[in-house]
Amino acid sequence: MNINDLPNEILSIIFSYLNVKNRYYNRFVCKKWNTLLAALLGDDGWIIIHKDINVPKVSNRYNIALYDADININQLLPYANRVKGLKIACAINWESLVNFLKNIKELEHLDLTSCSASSFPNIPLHHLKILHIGSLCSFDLGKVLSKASSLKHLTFHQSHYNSSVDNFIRNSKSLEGVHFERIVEENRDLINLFENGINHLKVFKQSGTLTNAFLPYSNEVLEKLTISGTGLTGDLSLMLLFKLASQLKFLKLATPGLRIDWNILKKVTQLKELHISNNSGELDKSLSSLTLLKCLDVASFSTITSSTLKILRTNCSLLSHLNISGTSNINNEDVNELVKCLPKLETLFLDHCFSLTFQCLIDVHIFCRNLRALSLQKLKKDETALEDVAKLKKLEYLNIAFCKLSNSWFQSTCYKLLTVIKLSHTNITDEGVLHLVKNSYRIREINLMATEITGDCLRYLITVHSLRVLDITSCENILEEVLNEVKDNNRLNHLFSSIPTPMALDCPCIALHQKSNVPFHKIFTIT
Amino acid sequence: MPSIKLSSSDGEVFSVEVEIAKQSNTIKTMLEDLGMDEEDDEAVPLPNVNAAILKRVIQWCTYHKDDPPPPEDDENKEKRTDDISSWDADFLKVDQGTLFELILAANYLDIKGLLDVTCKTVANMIKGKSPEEIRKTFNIKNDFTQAEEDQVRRENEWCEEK
Repeated sequence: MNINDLPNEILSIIFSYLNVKNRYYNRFVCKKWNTLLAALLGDDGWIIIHKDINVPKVSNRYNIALYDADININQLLPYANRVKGLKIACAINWESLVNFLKNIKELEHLDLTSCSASSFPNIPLHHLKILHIGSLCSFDLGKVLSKASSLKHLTFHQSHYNSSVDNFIRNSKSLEGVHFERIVEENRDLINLFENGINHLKVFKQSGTLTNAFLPYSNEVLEKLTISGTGLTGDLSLMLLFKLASQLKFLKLATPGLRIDWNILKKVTQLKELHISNNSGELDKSLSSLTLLKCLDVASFSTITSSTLKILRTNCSLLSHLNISGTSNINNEDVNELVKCLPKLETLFLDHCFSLTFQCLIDVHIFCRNLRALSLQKLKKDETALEDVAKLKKLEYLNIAFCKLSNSWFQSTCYKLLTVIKLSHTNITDEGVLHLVKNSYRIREINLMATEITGDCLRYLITVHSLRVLDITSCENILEEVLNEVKDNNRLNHLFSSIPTPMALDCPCIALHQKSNVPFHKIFTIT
Repeated sequence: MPSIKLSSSDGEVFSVEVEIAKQSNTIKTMLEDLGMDEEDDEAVPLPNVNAAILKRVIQWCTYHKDDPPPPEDDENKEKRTDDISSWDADFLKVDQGTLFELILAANYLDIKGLLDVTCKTVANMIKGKSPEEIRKTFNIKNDFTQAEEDQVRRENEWCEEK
């Protein structure tokens, strides 16, 4: 068995462990790697630059990312005055960059993630708003910060912490948020900072070993908190944290199994966005007071029951984004009743809810007129609500992978605004795809993995002007000749395909990883 | 300890403690949602995993049965690959074919911990190598023509901004 026999989903997981430089270089291994790695590289809105750059085709781009240590920086010099954002994601010779940096007039965003800079040039930094210092930087951060009079967000590694950084964080008038990366040990000064020095910050993010000492628990103005620490140690409870955080609007706890005091969470009444997945506990207790909640992301949360949905129904009428994927203790009626009470619902994720069927969506088109994203992966089919789902006119994102819907159903839909549709492992045929695409002028991404579609359909799809991403992995009816024919002649950004392997076809769990391709909170910008 | 029987693609039946088997979300789901009874004497069929691989998977799950649940991926961060435990590293000293089959099995059975550590192991085999070295390591054919390779370089001078 060869590495390229692995399904694309798995190769993408493997590639996700590579740094940007590796991802860039490895594109030249073979065509398959090129396609997959291009998908990983190009999605962050930054212009990627490597050594063979001649003249930029586009002149009005301001954020540039350097991914290649061999870049001839002098070639870029003419564009320096237009640069607003600079990301250095390779081990580039720092000295060669200094001249370039000096020519940037209004640097607003500087990201030195993978850069080993030992000194920092004397350049004006009063426009700088976002600064990301990687672990390899060894210059005096305090000195740089002293010039960054409008800095709003600072990300840095614990090891950069010293008294001048401490001073800056405590005294900066502009600073709104800090992200501490990889806190690994108990440092007395750092603990002191957490106790007294960050109480004026609105945004706080930390990753690394999680202990009570590193929580901003007496911050009264905190609005946004993300904790993604993984090295859970000791008996941690977030009780203290919420004692005073009455202004908290955003909370993401990405540490599975984190013990949470649900009574305290109840007091964070201003909360608009809550992400706690892979957890369990008395969520119900807190929800009844979180009446301003707009976004609730509690996928794989084992204690969600009918009563949780009942509380949402009566208390959280502002809810517009809901993800309760992977829940098996709720039934169709619960969801029915819930959607009736959520007129503002825009996003609904019910993937892998094995106790539900389509019946749970009866009348959804009447009550949730603004529904834009619906994810029903592996939802059991029944005939009841199919028409209702077809009538959701504003749908932009639809995932019905693994749902065994009839072809006549696809013919009955008319999703004019659809941009992303996931149809993998469904029994959609050419006619169904053509119907969908012909009605959706904005279609950008289609996943047809392991479906019956044929080469004729593929030939049509590559002519669709708006389409950028197409996955036809494991489509047995598409012959290799057709694939080669369209590969030379398509305008897609990403075409995923493979010669079908029985293993990939039989593998029901691939879908679980597809799910993570579009993180729930990234589908739309939630405000 | 209650146990269940798992049947590999080639028909070999393994008896495994339920708690160990439940590290596989696929098996967990089958037991919980599809109404498979623990006392049921019938073996759970796993048509995508052969006996040799299933044996290794069970060995891994047995060793890791008391592990806390694996952390959620942070999509914004470069993920680490240097945190493979020495037991796992030893366990994964196998030929490439076996490693890839373990990945497929971990994916099919939906065992996140095993999938993570096997994918990390492959990532470590890729890291720091030139494209040519990678092709050699994994026996991949370079299917680019010179013109196509140049095209890739040109196309990506400026990436499309979303």
